[in-house]
Amino acid sequence: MARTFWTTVKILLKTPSVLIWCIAFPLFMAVMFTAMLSGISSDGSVDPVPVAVVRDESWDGSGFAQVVDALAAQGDDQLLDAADVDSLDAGVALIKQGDVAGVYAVDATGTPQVTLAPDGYASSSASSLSGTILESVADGYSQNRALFEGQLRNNPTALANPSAITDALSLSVGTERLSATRSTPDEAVRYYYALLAMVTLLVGSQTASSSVCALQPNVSVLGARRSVAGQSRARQLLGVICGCWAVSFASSLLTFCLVRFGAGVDFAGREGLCLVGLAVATLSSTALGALVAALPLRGGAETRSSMLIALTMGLSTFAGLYGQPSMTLADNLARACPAEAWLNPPRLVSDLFYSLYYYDALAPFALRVAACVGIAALMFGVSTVFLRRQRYEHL
Amino acid sequence: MANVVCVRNLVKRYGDLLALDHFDLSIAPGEIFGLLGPNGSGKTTTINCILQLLTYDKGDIELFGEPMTATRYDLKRRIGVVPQQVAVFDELTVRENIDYFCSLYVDDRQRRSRLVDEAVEFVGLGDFVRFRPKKLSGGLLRRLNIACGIAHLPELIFFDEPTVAVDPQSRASILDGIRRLNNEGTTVVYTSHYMEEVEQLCTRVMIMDRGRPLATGTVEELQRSIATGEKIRVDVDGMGQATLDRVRALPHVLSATLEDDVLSCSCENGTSNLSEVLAVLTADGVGCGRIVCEPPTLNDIFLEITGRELRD
Repeated sequence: MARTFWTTVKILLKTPSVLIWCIAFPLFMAVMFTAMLSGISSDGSVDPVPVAVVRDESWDGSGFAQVVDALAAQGDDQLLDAADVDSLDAGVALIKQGDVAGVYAVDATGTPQVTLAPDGYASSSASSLSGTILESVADGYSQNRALFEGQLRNNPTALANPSAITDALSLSVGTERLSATRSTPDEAVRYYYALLAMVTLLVGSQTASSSVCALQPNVSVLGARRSVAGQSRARQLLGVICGCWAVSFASSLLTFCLVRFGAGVDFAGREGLCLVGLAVATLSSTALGALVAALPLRGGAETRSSMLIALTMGLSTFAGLYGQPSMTLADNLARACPAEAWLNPPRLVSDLFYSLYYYDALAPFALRVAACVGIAALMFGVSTVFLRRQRYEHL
Repeated sequence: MANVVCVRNLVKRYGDLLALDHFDLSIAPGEIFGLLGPNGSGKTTTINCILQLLTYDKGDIELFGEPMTATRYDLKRRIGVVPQQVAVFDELTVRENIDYFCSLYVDDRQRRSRLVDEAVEFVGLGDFVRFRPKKLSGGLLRRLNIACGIAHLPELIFFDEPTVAVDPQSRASILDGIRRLNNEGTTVVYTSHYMEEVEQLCTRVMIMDRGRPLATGTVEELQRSIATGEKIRVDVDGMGQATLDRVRALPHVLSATLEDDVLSCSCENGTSNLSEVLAVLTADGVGCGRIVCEPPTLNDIFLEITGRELRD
């Protein structure tokens, strides 16, 4: 059996179609996803909002000037990109040129005045958001200023307490920030998990299908030679399956490493458990390939391989692999038929990674691992029944 | 000693087609048994049934005196099979292929290594052990195919047309190897369309057609079993149809043909066939050149028993 195992590994690693489908294709997909999804990840960051500042006497002495200078200081959290102008007219001219999103000025009482670009002057898709940011900064300053002036009038001694000032400026006094999930939800993660699910199913089923076909006399001449050998079919099947699983696991691991370390996808710090997940996912995929190869179907290894590719790609739709429409379809199906999430291998595998990502408890993960192992055992059992005592009407 | 192969009353149907019709076969230890028949006669079906690759409708199959079933791995370990098509892994080298197929019979690594070396030497592939099958010629591939089937030193080997599409040198080498195996005590079941191979190699021959054995015995026994006892071939000059008709009319001549100035006659057993034919030719003034007189070959026996009509 050990010899069959190593021979299977060696053969798979030297088979061009296996190398293409099980190593090159997943890696290509991972790289493609990384390139496509880097846009989604960067969408959350905001570029500094260009704003003109009317730097006159009122401005120089105001508290708002200090706020704007602080927000325009260069750094990772820079919010504003301030440009000094002599007058409001000069600032409006910059708005018309599309160089800034608005103009800040301060009146004689020190109150901020905001002039925003009208919609017709939107110089970029971010203009409406930029205007909102400029307004929020000015409004926030005005509210805090009014708060302090009220305190000064009504209870001046309270301002002597620094913690009271901090509390007054903070929203956290009456609220507590809680996370419902272990990790922050990230849309890109769903694509990568679906990709991993597709890869495990593809490599596991393809390697097992081609290898188990080579055990069957009605599909391959090698199968005839092996069937008349002195080693039982069950032992040969076990050796072949173990070999296929090892190659599939290695291939999935390669994709996982690329996703984890190349694309920087978060697995909630549970990489070790992810490997367990990959192991059982490839096991169930290998079992599916073995089952399809063992079924008494017409056609040879190529027919079965094509069936499995179609099945993999089709089922991956319901794991949300193909973008937003696919995800919406997957979500709708999951709501209408919850059992699908347990019966569809790509969905089950992507949920397996989700359960590690979102849940603190490991029970959901363990449940899905058990489901994968159960499905694998069932499919291996049926495959063995088909193969063990198989004799043929025709060859 | 019990027969190595014993098939009784074997019936195999492919739908409405009766592939094996109450077929019986016995092969004694140490024989090289030739299984001959036209295409579709049931040779490969017989072997596949014996090896339990195919289901069959009726009959008993015993190997080494014990009932053969699909899970009799103890019996399968004593058998080697060299299939008609080359069945090796393209991804493995010559040595890896032989080692893998040997490992399906022999677990012990050291013993297996020794057996693989012997098999490589036996088929003369010593210079090609690191080659992959795609780099080998047709003859070398056939030899690799044989090595994969014999490396575990089986007591009974089935060779299913092992010399198809190989050159005369490789064929001679393969046949010589089979003789050596037999000399070491291996029983061989050999199917081929090459009559001269079977004639040279086999100690006993069965000619089968339409799923039935038509004749079984040594080549000499088969020669005696047919009507033709002697074949006469004469290079003639100026022979006409009238002379040919007179030759055909001779009492012991079964058939006579004239093609390209060569007269070919099939005659019954007799002591004066040649002199009678030559007397007719001399009387008609036909010039004679080279004269060949010989007993019927296995090919003649085969054609006489199975007929000359084309098969699928």
